[in-house]
Amino acid sequence: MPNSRASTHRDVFVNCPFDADYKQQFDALIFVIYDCGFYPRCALEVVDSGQLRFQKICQLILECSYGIHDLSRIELAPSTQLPRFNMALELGLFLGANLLSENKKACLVMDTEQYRYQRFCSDLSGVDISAHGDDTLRLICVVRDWLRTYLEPSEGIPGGEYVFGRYKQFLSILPGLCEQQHLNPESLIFYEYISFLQGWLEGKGLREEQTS
Amino acid sequence: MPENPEEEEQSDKPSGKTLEGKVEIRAASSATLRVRLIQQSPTADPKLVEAARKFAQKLKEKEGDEEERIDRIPEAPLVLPVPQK
Repeated sequence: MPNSRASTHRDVFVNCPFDADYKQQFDALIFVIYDCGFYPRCALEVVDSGQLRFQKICQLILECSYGIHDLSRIELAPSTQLPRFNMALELGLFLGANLLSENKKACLVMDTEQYRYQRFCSDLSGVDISAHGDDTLRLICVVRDWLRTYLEPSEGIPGGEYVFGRYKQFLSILPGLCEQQHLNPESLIFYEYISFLQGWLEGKGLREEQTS
Repeated sequence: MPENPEEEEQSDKPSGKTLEGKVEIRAASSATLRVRLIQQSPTADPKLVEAARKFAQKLKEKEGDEEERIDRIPEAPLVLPVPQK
């Protein structure tokens, strides 16, 4: 079983929707975090019915030095005509934890448009928000460029377009890999997806460095 | 026990141990050092990781290094070959 309690100094808390409409962006987001040498963490990794979801999220935030928040799906749900505030709540928790913590956290806030937040969360004024325009390539580029600033100068990583190419490669082999393991690629759960991702990166030697 | 302890450290097999902090490596002579940095997710399933690793290695052996063939311009339209008359 995965050890959800073991954290690393490169853990990234991922705050975004987990529904089918966002799945394409979610998979790409997890990929780019991993490909840049960080570890995505989110509420999906903890399967414990005895633990309140809110507690899970607080624990994850405490364990992560970085946070990526995508507010692009704060919009009216067609069925209820009410907005979804989970992402805003979790961003608030993260910012609060950072304010009160001795070990400072870093966060990236994204939205569809750069200034859309002013219409639903004006208290965020002054926070730099990056727009991805609901485009997977732009999302990967935004996240890659942000994570790059937290790597050592010597830790070179490829540009966003290249990472996007790798992502497409990974998607192309995923059905075959799933078939081999008797899994359905459409219904992979979080830790299966990241396990495949990790193994694929290792198998391709994308983390190999040679010095002489 | 291997005769040379360094042989053990050069194994490609993941140790499963989590290492934290900075590691300084110096070459005592002109020998080549290969350092492999393996990402270890705290939530990954080792069995699935290993399966994917082998899968990727087999593909790499079969098709060669695909890194050179990565499509760097994702939105570029496909260019179809002109049929020869």
